[in-house]
Amino acid sequence: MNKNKLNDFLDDYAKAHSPEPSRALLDNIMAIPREVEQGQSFNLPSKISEWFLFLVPRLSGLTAACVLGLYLGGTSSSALAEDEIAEIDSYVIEVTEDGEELEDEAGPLLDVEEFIFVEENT
Amino acid sequence: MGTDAITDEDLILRIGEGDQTAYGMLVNRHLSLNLGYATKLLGNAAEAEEVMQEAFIRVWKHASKWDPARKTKFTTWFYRVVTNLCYDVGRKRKPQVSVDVLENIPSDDAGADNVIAVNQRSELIKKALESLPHRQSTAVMLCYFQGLSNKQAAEVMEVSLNALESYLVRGRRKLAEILGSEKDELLKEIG
Repeated sequence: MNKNKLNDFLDDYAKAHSPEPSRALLDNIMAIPREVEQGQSFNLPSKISEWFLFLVPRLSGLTAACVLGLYLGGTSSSALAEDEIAEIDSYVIEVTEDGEELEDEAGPLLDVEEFIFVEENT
Repeated sequence: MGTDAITDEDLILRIGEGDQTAYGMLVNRHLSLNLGYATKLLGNAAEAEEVMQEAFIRVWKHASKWDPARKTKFTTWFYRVVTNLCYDVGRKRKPQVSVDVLENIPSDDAGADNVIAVNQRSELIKKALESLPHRQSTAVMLCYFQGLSNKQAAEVMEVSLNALESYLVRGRRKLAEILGSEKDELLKEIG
C-alpha cells in the first residue's frame, strides 16, 4: 500500500472515531470540582539554595517545639525528684492496739531516767 | 483580555487556587480533542469517556502542585496523563475474541456501498492499529491524528526525537503491510 492510500485510510478512521463529548460526560466532568477535594500543595525544592530556604523554617520550628517540650516537662509541678518519691514510699504510720498513732518524730517513747527513779522508790 | 490570551498554564495555576471558571475553560479547550484521541487509542467510546473523567479528576486534584518553574506545557502533560490512563485500561481488559472484519461483506445495495466501504476501511484501520505495539500506535496517533509535531509527541511519550521518528516509521510501515494484505483478501472475497 502506498503512502497516499494509507493517508486516505487514516483520514477515514479519524472521521469515524472523533466523537463529540456527550451531555452526560460534560456534566460529570464539570461536577468534579464540587465532588472532589483538591490536593494540598507540597513541592519539594529542586535546587540546593531552595533546599536551604525550605529547611530553615521547618528545622527552626522543630527545634523550638523540642526546647519548649523539655522546658515544660522539666519544670512541671507534677514531676517529683527521686528523693521526694523515696520519702513518700518510706512514710509508714504505726498504730497501737488501742488505736493510738505512734509517730517517730514526736520525741522519746519513754523517759528512762524517770522510770529508774520510780523503780528505786518501790 | 480575551479568553484566548490566557494560556493553559495560567488556567492551571488558577485552578490550583480553586477557580472553577478556569477549570471550565480548560475543559472546553481540551475535552473534545483528547476524547477523540482516547477513543482512537482504545477503539471504544465508553472506555474513552471514563478515561477523560479520570484525567480531569487528576487535573483538578493536582493543579495546586503545578510548578511553573518547570516550564512544562499543559498540553504535553495532559496528553501524557490520557495516554497512561489508556494504557492502564488496555492492560486491565479481559482478552476479547477478535471480530473478523471480513465477515461483514458489503451488501448488493449500491446506495449503501460507499458508506459500508468507509466503515470497512475504518474497521480495517482499527484492527491494524490494535495490532501495532503500544508505542508505535501512540506515535502514529499523536503525530497523524492529533497533529502534534514530532518534538511534542516525543515529549508526551518521554522518548528522544530519534526514537519517536523510529516508532513512527515502523508503525506506518507495519500499518501499510497489514492494510495491504487485508485489502487483497477483501478483494478476493468480493471478487
